[in-house]
Amino acid sequence: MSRGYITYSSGGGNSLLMTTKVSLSSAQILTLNTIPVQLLPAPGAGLYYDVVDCIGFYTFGGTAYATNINFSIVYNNLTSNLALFSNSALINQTANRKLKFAAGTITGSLSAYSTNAPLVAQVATGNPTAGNGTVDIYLLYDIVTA
Amino acid sequence: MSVSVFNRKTSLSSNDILNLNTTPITVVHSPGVGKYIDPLNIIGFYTFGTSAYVPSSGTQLVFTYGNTRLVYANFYSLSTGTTFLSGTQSRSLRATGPNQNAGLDSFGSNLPLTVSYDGTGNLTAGDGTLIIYVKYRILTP
Repeated sequence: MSRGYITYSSGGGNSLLMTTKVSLSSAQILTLNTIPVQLLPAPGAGLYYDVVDCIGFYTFGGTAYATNINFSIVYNNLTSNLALFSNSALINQTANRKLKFAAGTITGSLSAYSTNAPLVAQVATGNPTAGNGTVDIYLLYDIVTA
Repeated sequence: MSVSVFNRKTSLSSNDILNLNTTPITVVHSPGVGKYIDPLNIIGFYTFGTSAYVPSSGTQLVFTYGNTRLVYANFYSLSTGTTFLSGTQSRSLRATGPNQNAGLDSFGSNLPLTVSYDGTGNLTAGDGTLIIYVKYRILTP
């Protein structure tokens, strides 16, 4: 994981927008429903991550992931929160792919934001079957008081 | 080149929400002559009171420029349906967008970014409150 910073102004004070890159191995992706991968740790009581931008770089490994391929960015997990971002056309590809994630679909009654919760990558429904590519996730985010 | 990004919080009372069709609320002030507000991300934190809002034909709260919808695109939106303002629970959601409306510009020069209700009249009933966070930058073409 690597991090960088962008100048950020909030009200009368100055703060920082932060960037992070997290690389997911094939082994992690193959269990991404049952074992979400943490992208950012819990920020602290009363705080939440405001993710401005999410980009995924997929490197095809010879076999595309199948069946459960809706790659999501979510607080905690997809049982307790809505996906903040999701994409179903990333890890099922048979060539390298670079995508900017769209906002997740709003359904049911769950919230998209959660305070003091880690941000994780997770695949909806079940684990992917087969597949051996890797994914790099780039986030641009802020930590905000709710 | 560095880019400054700003974050603005706006708290809407129940009275503000109930009048959002006829009286839009400014969420980011006019940036100055020749400048544009570029919203990067908008979040709504809705706190349910004791009664849900009731839409009057419209379906969403829209974030646009100035006080007149349909002059500029409804850049971002939050639902007034049961997934948000008409629901009976507190909820936080990322606004949908950027949306595009055929034939309309997305950006308005030196205009505030406002939130309003796209119905034919105001919302009726409802007593919850709403906090809106807008993260934005200022463009000077």
